[in-house]
Amino acid sequence: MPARTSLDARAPRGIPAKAPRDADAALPTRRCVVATGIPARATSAVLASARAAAPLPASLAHVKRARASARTKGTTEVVVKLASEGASASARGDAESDAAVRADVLERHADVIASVVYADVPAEGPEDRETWEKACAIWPVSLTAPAERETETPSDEEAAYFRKWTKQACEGAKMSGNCAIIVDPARDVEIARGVDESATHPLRHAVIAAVDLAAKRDVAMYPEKEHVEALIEARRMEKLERDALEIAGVGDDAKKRKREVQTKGSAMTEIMGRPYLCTGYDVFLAREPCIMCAMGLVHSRLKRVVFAVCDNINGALSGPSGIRRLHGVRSLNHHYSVFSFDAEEI
Amino acid sequence: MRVALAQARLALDEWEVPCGCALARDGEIVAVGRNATNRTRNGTRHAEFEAVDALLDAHGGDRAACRFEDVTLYVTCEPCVMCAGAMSALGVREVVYGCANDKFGGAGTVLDAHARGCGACGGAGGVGKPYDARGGLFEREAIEMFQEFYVRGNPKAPTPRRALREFPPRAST
Repeated sequence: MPARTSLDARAPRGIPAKAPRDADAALPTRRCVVATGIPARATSAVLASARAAAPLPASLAHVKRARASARTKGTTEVVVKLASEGASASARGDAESDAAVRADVLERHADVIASVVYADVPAEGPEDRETWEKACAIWPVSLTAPAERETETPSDEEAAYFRKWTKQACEGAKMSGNCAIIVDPARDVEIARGVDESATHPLRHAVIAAVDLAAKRDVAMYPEKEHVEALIEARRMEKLERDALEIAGVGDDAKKRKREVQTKGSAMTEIMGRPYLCTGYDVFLAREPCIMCAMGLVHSRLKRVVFAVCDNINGALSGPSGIRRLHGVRSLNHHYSVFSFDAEEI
Repeated sequence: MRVALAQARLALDEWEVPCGCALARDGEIVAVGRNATNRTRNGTRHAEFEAVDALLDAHGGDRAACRFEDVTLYVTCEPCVMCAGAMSALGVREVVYGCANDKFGGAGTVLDAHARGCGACGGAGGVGKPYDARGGLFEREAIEMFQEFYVRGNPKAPTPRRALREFPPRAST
């Protein structure tokens, strides 16, 4: 029977993908280069060129690339490109540093572009009307469908399961600083366990070590040829299931996404007899993972991430947004749920 | 970057997502790597991790001897959030990449791990070191290889082209 620890007195708390926003706080923005003074009739041509020369990243899909000028009636402003890092002194210089933008936008449409300036656009797609109105005051954006949210309060049973394994991770972290345990929740068994070995290898953090051991276990248990053929078959089945879903036109997008994720896990497990990478597994940590480890867990398709202690400096899951709250970044191809015990120490 | 592209080509031949990289120090290439996520069945074995391990091995695991602070990473696709964080944890000098990665790019496209840095999560504290990242070098060549990967069919798969477009998932760099 392990010693009673501070975790016994604590309940795990779900950390939602999005931090509750302070209603008065300014919205985060990204800087862009904008062409202004474009006569309305020329807007669509400039817009098409800008889209082709410098597409905006998926994370800015909510941003409308053109708006009517508030200053000069009858003219429009078009987002030419994202501002470069350490933005140049002049917006025009920044735009010209990109060869495609210079030739296909600035030079081709030189006769209709009056000036090139910097402007800020909202960095995140608004999910409610109030935020949308605030965002549109900065630059026009479209309303974004809210991401599907799980109920983030674990049941008593889940809490006990979380506590059991998180305690083990804390125990395992006593010597090294951090420990990650990958667990199959269906069977409540440990798949792999890694401790922080960054003293001997700079990138071998607990998560990287655990994921590596899980992979080696898989290679040892299942021979190469069988693995590759099963993987191809599973991918094919997954595709067929997805097509079937699309044909059936199941519900809204969010529902479809959820179904898709579920079928993905099940087809893989059924055909291969085990999940693809770490799909469906949970990981328990003593300390909140850094950005490298948090993204490593995304790549490995873990289902839930549970840790004892939050890290307010290097942690990548409990901060306000972006790099400090990775599971809230929508463009990623996989999203796990996150829980913390908010313990003071391991 | 030509060396990195050659590594990406090798990855393509091995049915891996075609991303390759080279580590340069004092104007010389000291290590290369290519994506090995399928072979190792480990979604974190991106080209960058392979190259870093190769460099560490060449120096008998001696981190100081690797002089990461003098190393420039050349990689065909923008480092993902994990790799961008790893480069900060190592404290590399600079990263030069081919095409941007608008799903996972951690060196400016989706997140800015290069500017914010990645600290340790082993309880020892310390914050990550920022570094410069630039893209666009041999961008077209890098993209063409990804396109080749995603459109080519697999003779073994019963529904070649479409099925393989999804195999493996686009967890590049």
